[in-house]
This record gives sequence, structure tokens and C-alpha cells, in this order.
Amino acid sequence: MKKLLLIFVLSSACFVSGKAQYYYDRSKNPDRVVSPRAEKKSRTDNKSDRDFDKFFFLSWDTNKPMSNTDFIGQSSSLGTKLGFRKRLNDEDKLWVGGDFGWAVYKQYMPFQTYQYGTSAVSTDLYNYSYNYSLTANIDYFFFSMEKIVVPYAGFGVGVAYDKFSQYYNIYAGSSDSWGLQIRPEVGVLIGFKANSAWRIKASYHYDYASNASNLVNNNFITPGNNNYTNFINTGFQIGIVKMAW
Amino acid sequence: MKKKCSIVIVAVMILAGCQPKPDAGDLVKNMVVSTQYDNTTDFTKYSTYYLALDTVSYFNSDDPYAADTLQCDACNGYSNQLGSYPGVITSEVKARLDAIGYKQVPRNQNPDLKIYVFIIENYNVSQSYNYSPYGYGYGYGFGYGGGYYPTVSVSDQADLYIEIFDLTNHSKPLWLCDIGDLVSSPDPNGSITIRSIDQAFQQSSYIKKK
Repeated sequence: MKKLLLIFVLSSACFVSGKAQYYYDRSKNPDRVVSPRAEKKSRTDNKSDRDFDKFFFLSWDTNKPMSNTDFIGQSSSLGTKLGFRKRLNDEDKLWVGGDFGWAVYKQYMPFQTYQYGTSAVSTDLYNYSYNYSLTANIDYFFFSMEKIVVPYAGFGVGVAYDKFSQYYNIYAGSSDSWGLQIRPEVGVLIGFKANSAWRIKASYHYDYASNASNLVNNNFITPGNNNYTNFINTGFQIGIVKMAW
Repeated sequence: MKKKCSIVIVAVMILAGCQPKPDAGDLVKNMVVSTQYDNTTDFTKYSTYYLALDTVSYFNSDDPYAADTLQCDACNGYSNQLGSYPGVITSEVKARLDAIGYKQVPRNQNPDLKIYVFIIENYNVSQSYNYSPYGYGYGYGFGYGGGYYPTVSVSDQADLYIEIFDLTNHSKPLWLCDIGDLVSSPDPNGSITIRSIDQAFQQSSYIKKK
């Protein structure tokens, strides 16, 4: 009985030892299958190997209006863009996401007289345009995100809301409209080092919005038929990007 | 991820509600001067006018003595709520009419024109600037049918009106001037009012003697 018991204990010890050896040195097993999740975690443990698949950005946006410049023709540095992108494919080049844009344009018109038939009005005017846009975007990055400098070309399509206002003395008038927004842009992401988590985004964009507004019919004081049939502007944005995974 | 989305949503809401406006002090440096006239009128045919000096009519929705509408420099009590302001206005109007070549005469000497100066405080006062180049018809009194009524940013406002009537033709209204806002525009010595009255006549070059 004692012999049988001894044989069983020895056999068990050998089996446990074999299993332990297998799990201890499993990485040397050429047939092992490592899950993508485990692989990603392994890579991100090393900062230079982080595999970013999304980013967020906040930009300062300077714009120049190109439509109805008799109402507002002055460039504006009062603008912001917020956005995010998510990697679409493993090649690290096609990213999709969305942008929210906000810009305010303003123009002071010195005191002058506006003649309308048998009526005339003299005043100085403060013309304002408040522009908002929400777009879905797709960007093509020409290099891998691991590079320090990554140029890209992008395109956004969505909706725009513009509110045109005019202030004079204690009086004000306004008109607003919704429209289709289209925004092609070219730009570059510049990291502080290779595969940096924080980057600078700089881009030039052209904005077309189908927003139309009949200022004359809304009793704006304008020297002629200065209505909006669309709102077009060009802009330059520079901002900060936070990469994430 | 939820936290980041929340931050973005809050930022978007803040920006969406951000609509900066001009500085209030800059807005009221000049008064708005609007004028309208009857374009069938030949102003050169008139020679004399009647104008009550140092006196204006004053209609204020908060006036407890609504029947007492005259304000004058030399009056007392509720008829002196505007201090010397009526005299500042009427003397400038007289100066401009005299410069055109019209002659002021007393009411009993059958003047050609009557100049009526009045101020309306509240009572739904608004600039009577009438945009349409085709006009909505020349009005009478306080309102012009179909006129432009912009929104206002204050609860207390007042406009100065100067109106010219043709006493040779059933007191037909010929010209209306609307200047505002008198309450918000800082004008302690009346200089902005004087400048605005001058502007009203300057932009009405059809009022001429020759």
C-alpha cells in the first residue's frame, strides 16, 4: 500500500512540474497564439511603440470672409475648432471623425448716410456674423502617425448655422439661416518627438456654406443689395492635438 | 471615453452660446438720425414758418400727469422735467431753418409751415426708419405704417421728432425727422443732439429756399 502511495505521489509531482515548465517558458513556444489585445498592451508599455488609433484637437481659427464683403470683409481671429479623428484602417493613413467650428466676424461701418427713396438714415453700424458648423470629416495622412511630421489632406461635409446681426445705438436687427457646409483642407500634424502623444496641428481650409440670407428684406441698413447667397471663407487653424489609443 | 465626450459637449455648448456684441459705450456715441419726406413737395415755395421756441411736447409713459405734455425752459414743476433741453433743441432747429432762408413769424401772421418738435419716451418708441425704397406711404404723427421696428436693447428709450407741416394745405405733413436714442446716448450738454439735428437737415438737402 505504501509502495502504491509513493508511486502516485511521484507521478503527480512529475506532472505538475511538466505543466509548470510549459507555462513558465510558453513564450518560447513557436506555436503560441497571442491575442491582439495582449499584443497592443505589450506594445504600449513601451512609449515609442504606442499604437495611436484616435486623436482629439482644439484649434485657434483665423478666417477671412469672401462672400458679401460689403457687409463684413474683415478677417477674424475669433474662431475655434474642436474635433476628433479615429483611425479607419491599419495602414494608419485614413482617419474619420467630426469637427465643430465656431467663428465670429465683425465689421465697423463709420457714421454715414444711407438713402432709400424718400427715406434716409444716418448712423454708424456694427455688423456681426456668428458662424457655427458641424461636419463629418475624413483625412488622409500621407505618412504613418509614428513620424514627427505628418501632412494630410481632408474633407468635411455637414451643416452650418449662420446668424447675421447689425447693431447701431440701442437698436439691432438679425437674420439667421441653415445650410450645407463643405470644407476641404490641407494641413500637417507635427509631433514633439517620434510617435508623440501631443502634437501641433496646422491647416489651411476653404469653407463653403450654402447659407443664404436676405439682409435687405430683414431691414438691415446696407448700401445696396448686400445679401448673402452663400457664405464662403478661407481660414488657417493652428491647435493642439492629443493622440490616444 | 465618456468623460472626454462630456468635456467636448460642454465646450461646444459654451461656444454655441458665445455671441460677443459691440461695446455698449461705443454703440451710443452717435444717435441714429432718420428722415422721410413727401417727394411731391417743392420746399422752395415756402417762406415763413412758426416754431414755439424753448418749448417741446413730451410724452412719457411713466408721467403721472400725462395731460401735462409741454416742457419748457422757463416752466416749473412737471413742465420742467427736461430742464433747458427744449431750448437747446428748438434754437438749433431755428438756426437751421433760418440758414435755409425761411423766416420765423408768429402764429397769427399766417406762416407757411409749422414746425412741431416732440419727444416720446417709451410708448413703444422705435426708430421710424423706413427701409423700403418704394416707401410705405408718408405717415403722420408717431407711426409710419409698415415702418421698420428693430429690436432694442434697453427698457427705457426716447426719441426726438421734428415734423414740418404745410399750413397752406390743410396742415399736410411734409417732413419727419426721428433722432434716438436720447436716454442711452450720453449727451450732458446737448452737443450730440445738436449734431444730430444738423445731420437731419444735411441729409435733407431738398429742404431749400432756392
